[in-house]
Amino acid sequence: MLEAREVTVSFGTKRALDGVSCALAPGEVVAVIGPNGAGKSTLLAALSGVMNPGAGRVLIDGDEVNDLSPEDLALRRAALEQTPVRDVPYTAETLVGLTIPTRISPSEAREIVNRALRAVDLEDIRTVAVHRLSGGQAHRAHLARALAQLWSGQTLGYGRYLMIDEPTASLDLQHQRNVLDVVRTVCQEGTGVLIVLHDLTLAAAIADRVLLMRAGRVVIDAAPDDVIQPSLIEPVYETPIVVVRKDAQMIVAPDYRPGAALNS
Amino acid sequence: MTATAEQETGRLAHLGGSRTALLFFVLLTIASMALIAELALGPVQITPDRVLATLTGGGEPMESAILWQIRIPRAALGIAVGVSMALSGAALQGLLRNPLAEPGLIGVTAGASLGAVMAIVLGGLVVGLMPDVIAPFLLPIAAFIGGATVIAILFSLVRFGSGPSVATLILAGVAINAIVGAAIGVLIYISDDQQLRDLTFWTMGSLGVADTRLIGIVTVLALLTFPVFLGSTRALDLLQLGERAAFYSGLNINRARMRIAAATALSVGAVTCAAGPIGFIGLVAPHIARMMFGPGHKVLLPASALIGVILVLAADLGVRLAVPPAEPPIGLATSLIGGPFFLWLLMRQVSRGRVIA
Repeated sequence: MLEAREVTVSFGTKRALDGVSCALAPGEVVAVIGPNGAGKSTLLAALSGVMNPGAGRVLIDGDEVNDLSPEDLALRRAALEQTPVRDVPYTAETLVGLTIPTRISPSEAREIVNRALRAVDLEDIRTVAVHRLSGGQAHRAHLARALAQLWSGQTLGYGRYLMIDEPTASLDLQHQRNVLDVVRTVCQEGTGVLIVLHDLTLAAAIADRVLLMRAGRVVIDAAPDDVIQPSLIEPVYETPIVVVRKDAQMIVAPDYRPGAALNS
Repeated sequence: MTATAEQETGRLAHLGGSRTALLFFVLLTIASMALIAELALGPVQITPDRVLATLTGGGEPMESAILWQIRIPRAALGIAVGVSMALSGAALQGLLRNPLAEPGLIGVTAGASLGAVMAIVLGGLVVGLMPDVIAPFLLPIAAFIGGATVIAILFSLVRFGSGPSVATLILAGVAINAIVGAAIGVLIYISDDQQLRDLTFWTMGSLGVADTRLIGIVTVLALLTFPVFLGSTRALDLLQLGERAAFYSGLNINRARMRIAAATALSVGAVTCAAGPIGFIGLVAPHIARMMFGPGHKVLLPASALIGVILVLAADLGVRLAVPPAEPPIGLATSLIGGPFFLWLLMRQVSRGRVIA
């Protein structure tokens, strides 16, 4: 279990996280949604150990995240930031192999790299330098790197948590689906996935639970059906939305019609 | 480098071990030739076979004296300067993720220089108070303290682990260079004629140091840092992903930074106090290495070191053979070639819209 207990993070006088508690279990997908500045990325940073919370605790399988060395932490969880560095001088396959610990044998490492590149559909351009790839391709290469790290951790008996921040923002429709497939796959392998999303349709499609955030607090943490309703979403996003249910799928979009007003 | 050339080097980097080994062999051959030339050529020519004879214990007394007292210490210092500046430059460029970073740029060389200038100008005041054992080492100690102080200041200014530390670090280097420049100016102003002469030549950089014991000390100090640099290659590779991603990938960022910074302070301080500030080797050598071998630090660092040695020895041969028997300072040669190279890189960066990335 990866959990935050009453975590508070402040930037100057602004509280980015205000007593947030949440949990991620192996094998489940939790989508974090909320407007800009709600604290979604800060939550991911705190859970991944990159940010020391001012108050509260973050535990990974019972161990305090900030007590673990970066090496140990990297075995237990993989994380991908919202805007990974695009100006990376390495080829896609070198990038993906870069974070595999040296304890993994070269043949195993090669297998992991191939699997990760296949998962994000980048096998064809594996030898192209990352800074020459398109924005979406580069993002997928970084996602493959996070997957390779996760699977390396699993090879060594860990690797049960994956945290990704806005992985679909720069992707075309095909590759947005591709990311959801990747998330489903690692989830079936027993990995818990925390995914920050702006697209509520994607969140509804992928998540076991949805965490709705506003101003550094959790508004509700429940099943997608219970969270994604105009009465909850509209006041938080301060915008009218439309929710359509079709063939067991929930499609959520802002109400773009001129003069549309809040339903609730 | 054009777009296609860049793609080319990216691909070349993947052609694997045999090509890398061949290129290394070529570099090693050139470095050996430069070393032999450095030992053989000069106002008194000593043929390579006689160099060999002298090195193995034979040779006639005059040639032996020239080699052991002048040319071998000079070559040793040249190698130490080449390796130290190239490794420091390559490591700083990796650490700061900026191809323009260089020991000179972030103020480390300036700090070492200030320490050395203080030792030259003010050393007379304290040298009588020191034990005789330490007195000869005043210069290297002062230069090391100067370089290390700059690193310490940089580290206290830059809070690692969060925020845009790269730009801060480089801007701090600009400020430090300005402060040090002014401080050296004050020291030059109060120095007497002899000190002024010493300073002027020292600040231009030269391998013609008479003190062989000093050369021995700095060479050993520089050697001590090489394993530290070569042990940081994976850290430098990971740092190319940015601080946060490097941390996510399991790198202890602060420890890696401290290790690389300490090695830089020690090696730059050591060679600067003996040879003076010799600029641009730390910029040019890693760039050539990158063009030949690609961006992976495991190959990049040793390749930079070899190229650094070739550049320093070639520059030294150039200044020594230009107007014999006069020996213009080597720092003039490296700056005359390295300065335009730096400008060219800067223009390329500006045209790509990223000066401080």
